[in-house]
Amino acid sequence: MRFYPQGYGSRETGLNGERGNDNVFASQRGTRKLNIMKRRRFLNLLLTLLGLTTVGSIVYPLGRFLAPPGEKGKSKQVSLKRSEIPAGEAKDIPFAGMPAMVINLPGRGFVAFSRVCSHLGCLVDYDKVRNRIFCPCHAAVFDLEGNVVTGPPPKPLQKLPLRVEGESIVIG
Amino acid sequence: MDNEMWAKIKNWLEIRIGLTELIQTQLTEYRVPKNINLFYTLGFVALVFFVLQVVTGFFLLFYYIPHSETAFRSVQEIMSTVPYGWLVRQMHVVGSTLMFVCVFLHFIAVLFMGGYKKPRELTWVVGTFMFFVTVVFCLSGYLLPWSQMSYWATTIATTMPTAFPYIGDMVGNLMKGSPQVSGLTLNRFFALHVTLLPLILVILIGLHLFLVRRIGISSPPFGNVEEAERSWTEYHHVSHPNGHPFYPDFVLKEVVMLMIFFAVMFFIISFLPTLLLPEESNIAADPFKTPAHIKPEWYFLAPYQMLKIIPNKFLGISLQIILSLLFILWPFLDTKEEVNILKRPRLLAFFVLGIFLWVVFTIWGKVS
Amino acid sequence: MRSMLPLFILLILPPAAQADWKEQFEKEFLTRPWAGVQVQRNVCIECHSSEMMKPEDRDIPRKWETSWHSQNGISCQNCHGGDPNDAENAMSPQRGFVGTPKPAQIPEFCGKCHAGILKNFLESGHGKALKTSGKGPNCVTCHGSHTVQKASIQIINEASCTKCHSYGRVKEMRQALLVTENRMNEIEKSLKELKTEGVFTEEEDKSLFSTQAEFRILFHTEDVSLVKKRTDEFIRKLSSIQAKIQKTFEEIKFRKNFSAFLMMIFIGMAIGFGLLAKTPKE
Repeated sequence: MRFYPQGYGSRETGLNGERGNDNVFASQRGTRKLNIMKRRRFLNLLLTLLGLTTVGSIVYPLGRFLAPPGEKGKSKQVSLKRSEIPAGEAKDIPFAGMPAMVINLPGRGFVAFSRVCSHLGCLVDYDKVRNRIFCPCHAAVFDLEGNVVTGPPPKPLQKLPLRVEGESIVIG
Repeated sequence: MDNEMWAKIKNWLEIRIGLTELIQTQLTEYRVPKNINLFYTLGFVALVFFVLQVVTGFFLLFYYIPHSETAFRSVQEIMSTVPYGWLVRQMHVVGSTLMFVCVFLHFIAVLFMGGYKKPRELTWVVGTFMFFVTVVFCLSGYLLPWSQMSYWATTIATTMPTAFPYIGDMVGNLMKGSPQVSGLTLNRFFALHVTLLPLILVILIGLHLFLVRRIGISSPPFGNVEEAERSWTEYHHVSHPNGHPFYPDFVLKEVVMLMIFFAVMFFIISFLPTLLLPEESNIAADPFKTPAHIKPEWYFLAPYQMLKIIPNKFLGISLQIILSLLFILWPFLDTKEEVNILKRPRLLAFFVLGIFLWVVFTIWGKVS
Repeated sequence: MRSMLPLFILLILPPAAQADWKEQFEKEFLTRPWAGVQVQRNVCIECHSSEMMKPEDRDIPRKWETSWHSQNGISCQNCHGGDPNDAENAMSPQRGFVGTPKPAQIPEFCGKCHAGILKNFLESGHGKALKTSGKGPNCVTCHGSHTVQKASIQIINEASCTKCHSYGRVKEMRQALLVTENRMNEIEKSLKELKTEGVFTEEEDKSLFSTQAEFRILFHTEDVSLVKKRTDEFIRKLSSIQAKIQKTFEEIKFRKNFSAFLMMIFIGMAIGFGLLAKTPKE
């Protein structure tokens, strides 16, 4: 039996043609080589799986991120009849999940606002006696354009798009 | 794709661009030093993180509105309404900090391993400019969400230059576009952050990589130092014929480091989501109300604290300038040929002291 | 170049040795209007905390600083009028100064801002008693003046209310308020928790505030049957806010799980690639 130092040669048969199973070291080398191959294959498989999972976990969210918003993205329009709001009166309507109001201003037509005060969120009311919009929480006064006249609100009242189509008023 | 098809494609490319030779010279037979260590992978990781920033930043642009009245709202929409918008934004925020950390570690590694020495001085200088561009990236990006934190941290940062005599106020106004931080500041920071800075950094990266490849990778000074890189009198490319092949050996090392950084990024996103987004970042900017404890972002804490403890404004700023010049021109200040820092205990002490002071100032800036 | 180090030290030591470096910095950097704590000069507070005032009144600015008004930026001139920036004309009627209201006028004084509450209070038993006989509780009786705190159900208690009459009807009112008040406190706590998790809760904050304010304005009518009648409506509003908050908590959990999942994958890949790197080549 010849002595082959470990790691020398990488063939299953010895350099002089001995068969693998004649040589303990050759078969040891063979097993080692097989183990390395198995290990490599397993790791490659594992990494491919993990890699694909990563790609999937990026592609799916990216797709949802880029896609146009669903039904919820478009605000639903609200419509009501002109006759529901007598002149000088206001009507509360829900719009896009927030309280809103439509005012029939004498001589100026219809106008719609969000009722959420831009200060801390209290609901404002139309004061037809003094021709203004008033918040009962901290006495904020808005004019009929929604601008702040006096009080703590930092921004004007949110005005909602409104158009009159024949006998109906459409908001949104 | 079956093997025949693949072979056909490879052949098509081969006759046009010499694919085989390309793969050989750039990947499989391009060799890196035998004693290369994990620190050498940091440059690659920094590059990938920059690409990540560009990609996440690009997607954020789909929903972000760069106007003082809508910026904050648009960012909140990204965080709460847009599907997985939170993921994109968090990756951009955490990614930017990690990129900074990576660049910083890369700088320290090069410093400690003498990679800036002859003939690589130019690579170092280009690297320092890349660092400064990264800092400006961070500064400009920080303002974009238009939160209380953004607004006031930017106010401090744009007032620091006013300590300069004569030109200080002009520089401050140029940065802000108005006497106070305003929508005009937002617009110009946005323009910088999204167009000019990426362009400049890409050019610098190209230059940096060209220099690294053209000169040849340095060997770490520890372990078996293969070749003597001294006495440079004419150009020759530094090669490592007994080293490891770049592909697959070193590439695998780079990928491992990259995976570790990504794991850290997702760890922060899952378990510490408010680490970089404290409460002030969720309150819209209010120019009339200064929050109780405004601080610049963590990477500016050290210079900020340094400015605070030096009572003379001009001296404070000059010190910063001197330190920056020291940083940029270091290869021309330390021209000793000895690359192994362990053989130069005084220099080692100087480096360690410098880094220690930076850490101390950062922590001090945070707690004071 | 080596001479730079001693020069460096020479430049730094003398200025650093100045003991008052902190004040110097504050003077040069922090006194700009944008920097540090807002340094707002208020002459009212300056005089009223000085020795010119009677000792028992010298405490008023300090008391005000503990109040909910102070925390929300409401200072002397917002209630009393006058000019806080001009010492000479600070208390001039031309600058809107109205002084201290008489007890029977206190509701109108506070109602300058709290208009909805004023309206209901004047129609209540307490309000009518105050206006007809001059004897009765006003705002300050229950809420204090300069020490006014955030409203809570604790203001209605046996000790305070039995000063003038029996506790029986008060107890009934307190019971009617309790469920709603508890819900509102629950929601406030949840919203605080959400904020620490980094969520922007402006819409829910506003909804809660609006419901709270409406409820408390209603209470000032002191009409137990009215409160009972409308309690359901308020509970419904609060429940819908709670449902939204619940959904947000679930979303946060989902995000945490999703990111943790990605983290695990990357850890797996780091280990996998690491092992692959260490696997010897054939």
